[in-house]
Amino acid sequence: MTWALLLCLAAQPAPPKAAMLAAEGSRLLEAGNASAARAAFEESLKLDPARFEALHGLGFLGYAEERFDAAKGLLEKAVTVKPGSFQARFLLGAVSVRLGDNVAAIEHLRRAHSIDPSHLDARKLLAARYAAAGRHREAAALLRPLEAAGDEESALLALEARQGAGDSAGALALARQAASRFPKSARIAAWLGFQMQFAGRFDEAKPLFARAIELDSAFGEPCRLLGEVLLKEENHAEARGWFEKALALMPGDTETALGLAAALAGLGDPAKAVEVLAQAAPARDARVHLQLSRLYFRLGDRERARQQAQLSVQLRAENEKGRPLRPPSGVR
Amino acid sequence: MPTCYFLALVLTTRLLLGQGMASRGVTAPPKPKPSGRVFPVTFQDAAARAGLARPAVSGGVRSRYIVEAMGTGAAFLDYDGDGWIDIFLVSGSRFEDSPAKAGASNRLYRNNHDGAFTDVTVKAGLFHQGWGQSAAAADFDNDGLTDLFVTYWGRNVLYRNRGGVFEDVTAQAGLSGDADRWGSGASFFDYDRDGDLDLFLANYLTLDPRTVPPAGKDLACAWLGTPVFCGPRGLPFARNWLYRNNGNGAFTGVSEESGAGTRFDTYALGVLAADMDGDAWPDLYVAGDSTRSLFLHNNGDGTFEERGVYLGLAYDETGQEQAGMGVALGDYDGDGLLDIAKTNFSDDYPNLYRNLGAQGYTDRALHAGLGVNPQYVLWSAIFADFDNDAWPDLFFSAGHVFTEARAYRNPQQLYWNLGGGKFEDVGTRAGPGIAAPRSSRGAAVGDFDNDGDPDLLIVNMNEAPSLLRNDNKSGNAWIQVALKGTRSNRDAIGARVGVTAGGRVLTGVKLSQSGYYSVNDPRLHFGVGAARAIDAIEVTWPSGGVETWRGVPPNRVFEAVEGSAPR
Repeated sequence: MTWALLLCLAAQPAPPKAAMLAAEGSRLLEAGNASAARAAFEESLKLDPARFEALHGLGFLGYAEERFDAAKGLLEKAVTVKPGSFQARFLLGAVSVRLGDNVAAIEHLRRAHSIDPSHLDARKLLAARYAAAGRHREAAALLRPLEAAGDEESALLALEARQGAGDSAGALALARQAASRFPKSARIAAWLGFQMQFAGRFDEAKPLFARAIELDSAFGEPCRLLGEVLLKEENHAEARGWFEKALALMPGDTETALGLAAALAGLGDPAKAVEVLAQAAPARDARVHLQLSRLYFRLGDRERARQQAQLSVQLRAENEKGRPLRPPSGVR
Repeated sequence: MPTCYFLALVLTTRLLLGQGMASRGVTAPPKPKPSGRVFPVTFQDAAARAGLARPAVSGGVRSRYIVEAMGTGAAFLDYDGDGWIDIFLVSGSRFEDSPAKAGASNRLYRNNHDGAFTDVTVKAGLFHQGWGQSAAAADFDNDGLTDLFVTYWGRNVLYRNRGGVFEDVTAQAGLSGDADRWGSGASFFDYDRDGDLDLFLANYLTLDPRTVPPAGKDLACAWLGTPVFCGPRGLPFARNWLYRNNGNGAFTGVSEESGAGTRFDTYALGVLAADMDGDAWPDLYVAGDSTRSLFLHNNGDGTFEERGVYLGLAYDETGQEQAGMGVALGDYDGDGLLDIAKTNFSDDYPNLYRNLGAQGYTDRALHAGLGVNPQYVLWSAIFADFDNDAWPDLFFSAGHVFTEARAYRNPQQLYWNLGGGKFEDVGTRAGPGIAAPRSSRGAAVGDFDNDGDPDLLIVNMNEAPSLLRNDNKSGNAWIQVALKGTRSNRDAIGARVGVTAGGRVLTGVKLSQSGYYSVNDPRLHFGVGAARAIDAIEVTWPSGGVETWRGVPPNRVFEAVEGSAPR
C-alpha cells in the first residue's frame, strides 16, 4: 500500500468497529494476552489499514517479540498516520537501535525528544545514540540537565559524553560528583578509577577498582582494570590473579585474555600465555595475533611468529570495521 | 543486564580511516596530580640576537602537496672543530615563484662564541636550493672533519668537509640516486663494524605532483571532512636504501642483499641507528607515518631482519598504525637499557617505548604522563636533561600540518622527568620560548653557549628558527663527553657512554641523526645532579672495545679518545 493511499484512508472517517477492535487489542495487551491482542489489532487493520492504535500495538508486539523488521514497517506507518505520537516515534527509535541503524535511531529519537522533552528515557537513549555516533558534544548537551539530579545510568552516560567530547577535566569532576551521589555504585567507582588510571594516577585508581569489586563481586571489568594497572606497574604476579578472576567473570573477553597473556609473558611463561590466547580470545582479532606473534618470537618459533604477524596485519582493517563501541545498557 | 560504559570509551581505537594519515581519535586524559616541584629552567628565544633571522622556507601559504607540510631538519655540529657548536638549517622550497623562494637555501651559521652566529653558507659552499628534508652529520671519511649529508625530495647531497669549506661529492660517492624519490631520515652508522661509516637512507614516498589528485578528491585527501592535500595514504610507497662505505670515499648500494631495502610498504620518516638490543651490532628503528614502524635488527652478518612487530615497536597497543614522525633514543628510567620515544599525529599520544630487554618493549607513554596533550601534531623528539638532575627530560616540537587547521601554530611540548618513570608537563612554566606558538618541525639539542645546559634549536615553518637558550637555575652538575674514535669510526658514531655518578648510571649513545630530521650536539651531555665527582665514564666503542675513565671532575667537557684510558 502506498503512503499516499494510507494517508488518504487516514483522512476518511474510521469505521466504528475498527476503533472498537483496536481498543480491545490495547486492553488485551495490557492484560498480557499477546496472541488475542494481535488478533484484535489485525482485524482492526483489515477494516481500517490506517488505524493508529492497531499499527502501534502490533509494532509494539513486534518489538517485544524481537521481530524488528516487521515492527519497523508497522511503526513507520503509525508515525505517518500520527506524526505527533511520542510513543510510536520512541518505539521506532528503539527498533532502529535493535536493527543497528544508528542514523534512523537518532532521527526518530530526536523527534520523540522534541515531542516530549521531559521524557527521560528518550533523552538518555538519544544521548547514547549520539555517543555511539561519536557526536559526544550533542550527547553531553542533552545530558547536562541530568548531571546533578539524574539516576546512575544518566550519570554514566554523562560521563561518557563529557569524556568523548574531550572534556576530560569535566568528566573527572562529574565522576567525583557521581561517586559521592552514588556511593554504592560499582560502575561509577570503576569509572572514576578508570579516569585515574588514564591519568597515570595508579595509586588512586587501585582502591577505586577494589571498591568497585567489593560493591559488585560479579562485575568483571574492575578486575581487569586492576590487572591492567598492576601490569603497568610490572607487578605481573598480582596482575595475573586479577586477570584470571576477570576472565572467569567475562569468559572470552579479548582485553582480559590479552592482559593475562601479557602478565604470563612478564612472569617468563610465554608458552602458557599462548595457551591462554588460544583458549580465551576470539580467533579473528588482530590484537590477539599481534600478541601471539610476539610470544612465538620469544619462544623462538620464527615461522609461527611470522604467520601470526601476517594474520594480524590482514585482520586489522577487518577488525576496525567490525569493532563497535560497546553500547550502554539503556539502549539494549 | 547492564554493561559497563567506560571500557570502550577512551582507549577504544577510532582510527580515522577516512583521511590521509593515521590518527587514533583519542581524547586527553585528566591531568596528573601536580608534583608541586619547581621546574628550575626557563627558555628564552635567542634567535634574533644570534642573527638567525632568515625564515625556513617550506611550502606556500596554503599547501597543495604533502611535501609543503613536512618541514625540514636542524643540526648542531662543530664543523670547524673549535669546540663551539655551529648551526646548519635545511631549507625547503616553494612551488610558486616568490622572493622567499629565491633566497631559500640551506644555511650554515658559524658560532662566534658570544651568543651570536655568522652566516657562512656561501663561503662554506653550502648554498643549495631545493626541497631539502633532513641532515645527518658525521665524519664519513675519517679525516677528522664533520661532513654533511642532506636529503631531498629530489637528489640527495653528500658534502665532504675540506676544512671549513664543503664539497659536493655525491656523484663520486655513488649516492646520486634517482631524482624522483623523496629522501627523508638518514643516518650514518657502522653496520658492519669495519671502522667506517655506512649510510642508511629512508625514503618517504613517491610524489609526482602531475598525478596527485587535488585536495578533497578522495578520502586520503581530506582531514575531518575538510579538503586538504593528499597523502601519505594513497600515495605510492618507497623503499629504504643502505649504502656500505668502501673506505675510499665511495659507497656501494647493499639495500637488497642486506634486507634493509626490503619492500615493507611503509612511509618512512625519522631514523635511529644504534645498538638498541645490546648485541654490539647497530640496529635501525624507522618511524612509519600512518604505517607500521620498523625495527631492523642487525644480524651481524651484513643482513637485517624486521622485528618491529615482535618487539612491540611497530603499532600501538591495540595493533593500529600510528603516524610516526620523529624518534629519540635515551635511558629515561636509568635501568641501562635504551628506550625509544616516537612522535605521532594529533589525536594520538607520542610513544614512550620502555626497553624490557629480552621481552621487547612496552609503551609507557600514558603511564609516564605523556598523554595529556593529544591535540598536537608532534615532530622532533629529544631526550635531554635540561635541569641536570640526572633524569633525561623529553622535548617535542609541535605544529599542525594543515594550514586549514584552527591551531596551526602550537606551543612546544616539554616534559620534566620526575624519576620513577613519570614525567610532568611543564610546557606552560618553562618560559616564553617554549610557550610561543609556532608550527615547528625539526629540532636539535646542544649547548651552543657552552654554559653546561642543553639549549634547543627549532625549525619553524616559513618563519625564523627558534634558538631557545636554557636558563637553568638548578645549580646541578654536569659532564659532556666528546668522543674520538681511533679503531672505530673517527666520530665514534654508535658509541655508548655510561656515566656513573651519585649512585646512578646514566646512558647515552652518539648518533648522526635523530629526532625529526635533525642532529644533536656531538658531545653527549649528562646531568649528574648534586654529585661532586664523576665516579666513572665507560665508553663502549663501535669497534667493541670498552674503556673506563675514573674520577673525572664534573662541569666540563671530557674528551674520550679510543685507546687512551688508563689501564
